[in-house]
Amino acid sequence: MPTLLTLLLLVVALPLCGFAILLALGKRLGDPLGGYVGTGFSFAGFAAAVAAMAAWISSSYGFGYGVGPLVRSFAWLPIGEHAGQRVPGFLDFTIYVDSFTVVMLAMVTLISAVVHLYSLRYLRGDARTPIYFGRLSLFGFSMTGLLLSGTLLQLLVFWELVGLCSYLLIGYWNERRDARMAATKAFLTNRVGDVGFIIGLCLLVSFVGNTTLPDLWVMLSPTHQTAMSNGLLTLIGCLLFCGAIGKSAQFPLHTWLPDAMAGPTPVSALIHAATMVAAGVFLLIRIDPILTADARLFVVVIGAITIAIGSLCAIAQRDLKQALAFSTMAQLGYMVLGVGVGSRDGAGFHLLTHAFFKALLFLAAGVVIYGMHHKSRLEHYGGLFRRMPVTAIAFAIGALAMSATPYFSGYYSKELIVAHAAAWSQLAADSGRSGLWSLALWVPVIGAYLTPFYLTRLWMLTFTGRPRDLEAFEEAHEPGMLSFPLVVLSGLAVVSGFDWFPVRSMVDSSAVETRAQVSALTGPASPVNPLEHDWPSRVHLSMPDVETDTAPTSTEAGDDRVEAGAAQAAHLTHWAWLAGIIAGVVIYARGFALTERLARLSVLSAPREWLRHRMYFDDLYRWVFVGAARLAGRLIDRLDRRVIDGLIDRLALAYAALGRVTASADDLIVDGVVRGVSSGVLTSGLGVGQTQGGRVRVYVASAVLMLALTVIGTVAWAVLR
Amino acid sequence: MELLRQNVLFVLVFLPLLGAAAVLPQRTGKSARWVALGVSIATLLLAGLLPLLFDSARAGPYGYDDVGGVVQLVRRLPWVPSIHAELLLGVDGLSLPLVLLTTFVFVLAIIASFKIEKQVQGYFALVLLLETGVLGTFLSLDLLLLFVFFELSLLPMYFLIGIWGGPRREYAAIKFFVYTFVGSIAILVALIGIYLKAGSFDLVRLPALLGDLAHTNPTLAMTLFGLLAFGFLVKLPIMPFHTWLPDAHVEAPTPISMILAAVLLKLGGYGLLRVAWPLFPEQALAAWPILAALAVISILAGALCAIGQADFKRLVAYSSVSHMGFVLLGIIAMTPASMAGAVFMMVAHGLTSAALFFVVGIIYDRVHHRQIARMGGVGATMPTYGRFASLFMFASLGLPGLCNFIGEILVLMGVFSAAKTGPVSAAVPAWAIYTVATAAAFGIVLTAGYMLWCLQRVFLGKPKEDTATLAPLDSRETLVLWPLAIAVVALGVLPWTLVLTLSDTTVAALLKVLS
Repeated sequence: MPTLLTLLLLVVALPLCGFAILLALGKRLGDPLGGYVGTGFSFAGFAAAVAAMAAWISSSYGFGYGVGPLVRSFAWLPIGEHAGQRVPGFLDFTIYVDSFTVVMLAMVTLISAVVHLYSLRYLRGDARTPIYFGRLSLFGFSMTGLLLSGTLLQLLVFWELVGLCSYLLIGYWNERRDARMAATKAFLTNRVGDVGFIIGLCLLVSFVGNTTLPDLWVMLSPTHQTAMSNGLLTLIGCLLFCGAIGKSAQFPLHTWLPDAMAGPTPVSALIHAATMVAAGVFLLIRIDPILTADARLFVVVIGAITIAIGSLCAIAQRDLKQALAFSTMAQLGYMVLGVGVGSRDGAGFHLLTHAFFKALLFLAAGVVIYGMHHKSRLEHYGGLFRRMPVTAIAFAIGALAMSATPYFSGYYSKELIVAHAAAWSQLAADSGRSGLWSLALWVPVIGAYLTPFYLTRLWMLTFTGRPRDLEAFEEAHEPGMLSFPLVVLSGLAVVSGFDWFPVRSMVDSSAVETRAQVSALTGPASPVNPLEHDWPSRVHLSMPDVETDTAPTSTEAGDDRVEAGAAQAAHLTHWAWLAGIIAGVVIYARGFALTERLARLSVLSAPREWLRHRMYFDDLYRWVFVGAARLAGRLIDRLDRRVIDGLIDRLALAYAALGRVTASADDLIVDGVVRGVSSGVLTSGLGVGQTQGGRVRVYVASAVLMLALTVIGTVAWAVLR
Repeated sequence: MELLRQNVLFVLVFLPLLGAAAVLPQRTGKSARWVALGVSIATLLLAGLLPLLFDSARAGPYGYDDVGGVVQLVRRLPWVPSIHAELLLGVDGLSLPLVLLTTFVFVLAIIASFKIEKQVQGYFALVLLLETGVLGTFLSLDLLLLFVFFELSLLPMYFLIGIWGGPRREYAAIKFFVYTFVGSIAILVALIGIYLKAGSFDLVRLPALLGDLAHTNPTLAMTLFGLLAFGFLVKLPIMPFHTWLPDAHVEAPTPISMILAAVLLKLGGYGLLRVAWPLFPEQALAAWPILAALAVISILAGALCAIGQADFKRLVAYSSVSHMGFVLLGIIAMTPASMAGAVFMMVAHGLTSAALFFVVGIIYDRVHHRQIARMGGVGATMPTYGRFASLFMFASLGLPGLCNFIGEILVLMGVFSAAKTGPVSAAVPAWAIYTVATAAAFGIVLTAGYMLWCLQRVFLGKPKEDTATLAPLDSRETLVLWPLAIAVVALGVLPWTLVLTLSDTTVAALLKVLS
């Protein structure tokens, strides 16, 4: 498929070209023109991605039925070994494309193009816009490169590059202290997760000599692999997941995401809501076939904790963007939990729908913040519906989609995850595990009630009631150029969940293609196809089993359970959106009036403070980790200066004393074995000043003496022996 | 052609020496500068011929041309026949990347030195003498000759720090001298011992000649290995033998810091790879726990110490200690990936550290101090400089796409594989290897920590009093920064094509010797 490959490479190359041009000519292009260049390239990239999607769907690759996905390799770093054998090419650049890649590319380039357009207006008048658009273009390159990565090493390369772009864009307004602190914090926190990812990668390399995704699926499928023990495979799965914990802001590395809101709002929409933070989930979906049941349990636990933290903290935030950041965290928790409970499809589906409605929410919030002169705290808002009706409606559509209101996109994707969570916890109950295990269901369900509540809170406090900051309110407006992206995304937030829209179907066929790829690699002669058995129904339910050490999975039972789970989920969450909205409307109908009164009760004020301070995780980490590192640094520095240098200085003094004794014997310099000749030339020939010259001779003399003594001693020792 | 093949290495090594002789009688500093620059460029061009003459595809044993080995362009001349010492030069995949790095960095360092006004002739003569010493060390295959060149690189450095250095230059120079000299004595003693046992200085043949020493006299073998390792570890430097480095760097003038970090430290790593390991592989395995501990301590404590520094240049100096820990780790793991990673890391660190020291020099020339706390917002006052600096700092913290990442990831992959394959897996329990590797992996967080914190304090934010108005980069500075920037990106994007293809067969051959 040369045209398809060309189009895909074009999707990656176009933003890179944009970046190169903006880097080289940015200053000359200046404010609006640089932005136009960046935007032009992003739209070209989107066009290429759409063309690639069309080619994909119309080709025999389309929807993967019977034909494997596209894999292409380019030699990059052909070095390595496995079990003593050199394995050429295991670090090659490999492109792996399936339906999920294609639809992700379309989504990323679409949101990127929309955000570029939006940024043109949002940052108008900023002299540094070429730099901003250059960084956006670099992000477009890195993110699309990440999606096409066929090996985990290559994924790591782009993974770090998107992290760099995130750093650069969070810190775009680096004259603001919070922005530059947030940028550093984001990069460092991600690095902690990356260490786990890198260790997992290294273990993979040492045990199977390979990080190519299709190969890994075949070699390391938990139900059928002999390369390593189940425990080790679990460990590797968890370590790789650590990368996702950092990137997708999962507990305990979630603290960077709310801070990252210090970046420009279009950036928050693109990177910290729709695309980059979802890269962790993308990674999880890619390694889904090799996750053992125990690793899945770990994933589920982390996802559930994150849903809880995100949903709770979102309720109490006083800043519009930070509240949205916590909601992003919670939704990412849903996706992570989704992969954990075996709903790879649900996670991928939710990733895509979430990208649309969350980008919409952020861009709408951006209009509000822009219109209110960069005031982002809720206490300045109120009554803005009159000033910005389009934005208010768009925000409402995004909120409804995220609240899983029927007929909105979020409804379909979230239901899928909750249904699998229900099935999974049922499976746990069947195998005699209950209590804590059922939280895998109850946390997402409760989260489903909290989501509409906190979104309604944001909407009510922003758009209804009496304006709380009259001065800003009078000047508030919504520029048409900012509204257009909202309209586009509003449409997508509604339709992207429907069956006829190529999101769900693409995600579904990606699983089929994975299976096709695996059977293509194992070949027809292979006795057991590891994935054949438990994949056709798009269900991968498994439980850690202590007794048999294998994951008990059963296709039919899994199917039944999912159906039962879907029913249970529908039963539990069908009206959650309405309940949340009603609660939000009732409580915030009169702005902060009711909550302020309630907060006077100490029973409520303490938890509110706790949530407002983000459960004090940030303070904890700052005290423990940052403090410890700096303290250790100072201590080691002191050790160096006092202890080691003290020793050395005394040694030097001894030398110098010895040298002074022998200084009169200048002849030694001439007779010196090795260095005497050269140093003699130096001291006389180079015109070394008298002050240095005198001392130099002392040092050289002492040195030569030591050298001579050593030589004599050694020779004597050798001879005597 | 044959004439070229026979003599290219001798010309390469001694060209800078001739240049030094040509620089000394120059009347004006100006002409001395240009002569030095011309000589260094000629040396670079000559070194650029080596990859063309060198057959990197030859997958032979660790031996000379005559047995189809990886060591090529060999030329021997009689030197001291009574002790079988020869002027023996040759090049293989270990030395070739380092030779290219050396000649490249010297050109840039000489351009960076154009501001030196004090005793210009002497300065450039010493720099060129230093280049001969370094190139000679990398290309000598006679242990005695290698030692002589190794020492030859010591003295010019001592004078360059001691005469052209900062306020505490004498202290720094003596410290540098004492440290390195103690190391040299250790190497010298080992050298004599090796000669007495093997009767040869031929580094490529010594592994076979010393073959049974480990069994006949294990104590002696261990002593000799210990002395060699100590001597080269001081040079690398590895904690706790590192405290000469920050002082030497802080006091050395900018170009000398560039050379010191980029090239002289590599003498240590190269010495381990060329001398200590092939001659005493079993001892290297026996000393594994100590060496691994030192490597990990260097990586982690070096990085932590960098966090604690208030002086920009000291911070970069400690980052060298941390990065050299990765080099040592790669060497001791003795797997193809880790060895290749160690070689690559040396080259990559050569580029990034030279660049970072130059970056420090640029700001020092403008504000006349290096206190991080008194800087800020430099990225706003000098945008181009800020971008270069960010590029090099991100390269140093191991961002993929830039050079250091390749070195770090190869070393880490190699160390993890060492638990499964290679000589180390047989001698060291797997849990120990995994512990070491995991601890080292956490170094990348700390590296990012001090680099980004420094970046944030110096380059981001609002300009402070000292950094409010700064002259933009001049053309000379830009001329140094651009090649480094291009090299840093090129090596990160095409690591195999540019470096590893040269070292690959040699690493494989060397590993056969080691196992």
